[in-house]
Amino acid sequence: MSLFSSLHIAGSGLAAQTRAVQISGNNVANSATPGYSTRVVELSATGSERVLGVTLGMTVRKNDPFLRTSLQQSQARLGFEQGKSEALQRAESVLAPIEGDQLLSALQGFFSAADDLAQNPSSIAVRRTFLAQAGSVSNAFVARSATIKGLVSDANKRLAAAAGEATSLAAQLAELNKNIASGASSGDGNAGLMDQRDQVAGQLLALVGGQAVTDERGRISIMAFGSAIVAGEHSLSLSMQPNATTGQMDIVATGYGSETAVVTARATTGEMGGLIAARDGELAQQAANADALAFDFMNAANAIHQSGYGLDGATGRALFAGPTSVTDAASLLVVSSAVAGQPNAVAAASASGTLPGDNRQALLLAGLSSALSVSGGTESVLGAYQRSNASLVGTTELALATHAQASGQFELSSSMLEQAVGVSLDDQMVQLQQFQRSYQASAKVISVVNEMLETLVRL
Amino acid sequence: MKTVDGATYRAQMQVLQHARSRVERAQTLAMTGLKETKGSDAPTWFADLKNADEEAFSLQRSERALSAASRRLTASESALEPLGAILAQLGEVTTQGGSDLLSARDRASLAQTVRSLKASALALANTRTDDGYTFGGLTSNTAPFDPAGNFVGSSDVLQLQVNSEWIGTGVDAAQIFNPAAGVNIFALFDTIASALDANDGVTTRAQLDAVRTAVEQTSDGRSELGDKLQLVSRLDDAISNSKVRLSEQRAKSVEIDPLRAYSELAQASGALEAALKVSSQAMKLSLVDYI
Repeated sequence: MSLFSSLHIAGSGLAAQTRAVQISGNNVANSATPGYSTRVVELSATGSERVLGVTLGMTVRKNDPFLRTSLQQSQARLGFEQGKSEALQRAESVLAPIEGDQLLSALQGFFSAADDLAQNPSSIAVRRTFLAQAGSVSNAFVARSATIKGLVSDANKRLAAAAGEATSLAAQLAELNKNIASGASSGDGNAGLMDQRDQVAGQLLALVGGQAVTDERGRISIMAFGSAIVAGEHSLSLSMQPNATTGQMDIVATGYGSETAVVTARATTGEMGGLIAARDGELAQQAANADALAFDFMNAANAIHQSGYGLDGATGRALFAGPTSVTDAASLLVVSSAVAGQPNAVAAASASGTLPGDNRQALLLAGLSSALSVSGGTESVLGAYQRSNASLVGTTELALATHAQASGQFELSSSMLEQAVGVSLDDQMVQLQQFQRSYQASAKVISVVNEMLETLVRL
Repeated sequence: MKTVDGATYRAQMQVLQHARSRVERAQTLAMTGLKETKGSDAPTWFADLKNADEEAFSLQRSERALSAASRRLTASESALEPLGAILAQLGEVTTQGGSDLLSARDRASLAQTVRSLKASALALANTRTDDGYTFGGLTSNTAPFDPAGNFVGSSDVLQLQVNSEWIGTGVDAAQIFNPAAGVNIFALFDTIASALDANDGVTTRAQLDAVRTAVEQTSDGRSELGDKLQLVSRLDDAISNSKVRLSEQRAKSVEIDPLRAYSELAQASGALEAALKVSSQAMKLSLVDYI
């Protein structure tokens, strides 16, 4: 072996250590980059007897498929729980507050006014107050219905935004899949593209849930809502469209050839699935409860009022009007025009012969607060309302608890993956030291060989 | 397990966020005086809160009903009490008028007195308050007795319900002033006055039993009112006891002890401060500073 071979050997060392320092430097520069996986330098000795030195192999991106799959699953689950719990928390804050419950105050005001009417049935002032409180009750029911519809609308807006974002992410993922498969480089080999791919896949899974499948060419496909949202280099688009039958907004998937499919029923994962669960679950139940309560309350109050007598001796007048069925009853409830603004028309008496002091119908109206007059005669008005709120509170509590659990699982998965593939500055500093010393040693070898050559030349 | 900076920073952030949340929650509890900030934090606590509020509302309604009942019953009692005195005076005049030693002129003078007493009794029978005619029954907007003393009111009285008890807020004036098996008080006045005008001592004297019966009728009415007022008083005591019990129960299950609230706030603030210091120290430890 000649001295020149030694120079080449040392030169290969210099080149390898320089590249290794560059890679470590890249790791350090990206230590705070979200989703970045540590690049590892593969150095190997040149293996022939005639050619010695060091060879710099591929820059390998650290990965742990098991931990990555675990993270993706936890992302999907967290997305669902987050979408659901946030929607329910918003609902709880306006529908079941600790204080300032408008409908409860209105109902209590109505029953108090009925008490006053029972205590003083001939007073015009008391009758006016009673009618005003009846108006407050109908307004409160209308407001509650509007609030619930607002919450549903809010959920639909979030769904629309999520659908748009999911469509964009799916397209990005499909493009990344194409580039990875074709070997296109982002300046970091395929490693940079794979980091981006995993980030985008994670964000998409959080929105739509489902499962991610990686093929042998490194392409990720996402299966969710019963469809392949991303299949290799192709992606679907998601949008919200109104359903004329249900009056609700549906999630529609549009495929490659513009064929569409309604996937709402299968949207059970991801943030979109969580929003659908909240919207079509508890929010729909709250709307149904409000409508049922308004309808039953109206019927119970009217049954009493219509069999009573006003100060003018007339009977058969309803106190409330508006809804003809349970459907949308809460938004339609009003004080009947037969009594509105007419205190003499309030039927506090049970017979015309005992006017004006007869208060028996007023007592029955006041008694509605505790009488089993709604929900098929199984609950009182206030009891039914409290039950509905308790249901919302209980469902929200459960959603928050499962969200906390999912959040913890996500954090654990993130942490474990990060520990496996993330950048440790301490490790990189040690490696830099190592590569630096190796470079210095290789340079020293060159220096020594150079001196030897000089000695030879001087001979 | 290797420690990487990203995981370290994330863990620190979580710790700080948790510490801040604790402080915010402690502040809210100290300000509101309640054990929780919202229902979903503890659904059973929320149910206790709503049950306590509902019971408080129910007690408030009962109190108002009792107050109305008490007011009406007291008005009736206030009207019947002087009626007893008037009837006692009538008895004295009747005894005096029944004496054989009186002249026609004396009896005529006594007849005037009787008519005057009748007018006072009629005024009492037609007593009116803000709630209407006290003895009018359900027809409380019109005077229950006409100028001749005939009862034209309603025998039914306004009923109020407190808890499961029914309270009649008055007495049947017909039973006091003209019961079927008793004495028509106003007619009695007329009979005595007529007998005195006719200088008829015997007829006058014969009305003494009727006067005694009239006094008993009034006493019976007052006794009935007394029973009802006792019922009101008993219910009022029960409500007062319920309010005390509810207040204690609410303080125990719904409200937070102020001292405990402030203590939790101090603890949470201390924990946040400690977390900030630890984070500061942990993030300083890096090999980068030593190479």
